[in-house]
Amino acid sequence: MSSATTAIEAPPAGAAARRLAWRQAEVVERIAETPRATTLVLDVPDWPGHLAGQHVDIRLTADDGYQAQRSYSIASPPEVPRLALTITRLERGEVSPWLVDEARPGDRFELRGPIGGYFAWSVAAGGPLLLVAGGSGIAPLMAMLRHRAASGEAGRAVPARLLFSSRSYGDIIYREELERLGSAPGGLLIVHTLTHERPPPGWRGHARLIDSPMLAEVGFPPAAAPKVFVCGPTPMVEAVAEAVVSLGHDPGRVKTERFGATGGR
Amino acid sequence: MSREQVYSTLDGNAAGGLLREAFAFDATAARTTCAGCSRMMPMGELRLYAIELGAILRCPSCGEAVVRIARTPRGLWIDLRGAATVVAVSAGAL
Repeated sequence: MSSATTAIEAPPAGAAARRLAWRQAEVVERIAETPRATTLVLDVPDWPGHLAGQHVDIRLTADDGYQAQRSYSIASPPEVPRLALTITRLERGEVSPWLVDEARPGDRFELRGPIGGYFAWSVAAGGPLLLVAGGSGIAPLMAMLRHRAASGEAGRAVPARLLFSSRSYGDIIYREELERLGSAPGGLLIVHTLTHERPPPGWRGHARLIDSPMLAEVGFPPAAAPKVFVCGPTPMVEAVAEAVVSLGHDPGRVKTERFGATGGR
Repeated sequence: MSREQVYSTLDGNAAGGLLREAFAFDATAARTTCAGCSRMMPMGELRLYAIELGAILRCPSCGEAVVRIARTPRGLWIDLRGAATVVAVSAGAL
């Protein structure tokens, strides 16, 4: 129970605004990833660079001045100058339907970033790396895998595993690129699980929600002290984080990021 | 469904842009002690409510409003009564 009233009023604009400026991003390419997810490749003038796992805020302004703002993870690695955002259409969303269905090369909107140093990783931070993704929660983890793949020998020296939960085979975002990354030499293991539809014939992944046995099988032993990143819908993130800790991993090495239906992530 | 319920599925990472307006350090990584239950966690792990007009970041354990930020015509209004301590982690210490 606190008795003191500690309210702070920061000046508007000023230094803070200079630290994180809104920039005009221009769509240069659209990539259909799945029926519900589209990647927008953006040209952002004077982009200051980012770490894998960071995100951006996007602000759309309607003709009448109404503004809507959402945050999206960056899927492209720091090595690529253009930003890739992978956006899943939310049926009642204000922002995602426009981005997924309407945005075309040449369209512009406001963007600021990079944001967030908590859910971020670089090869320099080392590993092993255990990544657990649910649906479009793959985006920031894909930036980490792309960064690792772009880092040559130093990247291959970091053992990495990805456990990726998708609704159905057709909903697996980046499926072909993940196949290529997983079959390239260099210590990356990728395991899929499908949660809502029967897997296709010959499926070698799992077909259930992520649980402790699956994490024990795919993940590293706690003694290896992996850096764990979990990103997905809140119930999935909560269940995975709890299971990982119950398997004996240090909670301080488990980083989580949740996205929700209206958050647009 | 109320707006609070709608946004309760997000966490402090999604408020990172607003937090950057409010603080000179990366607050998503800043270790914060809940004044309600003394749990310590990065602000990125707090639960996010009501991002449109500011943000309320609640403790995942006890529900205490740890960080409250509102946009006002004069600037940001920041209430940290629910945060007993905030430790800014330097960028290299990830």
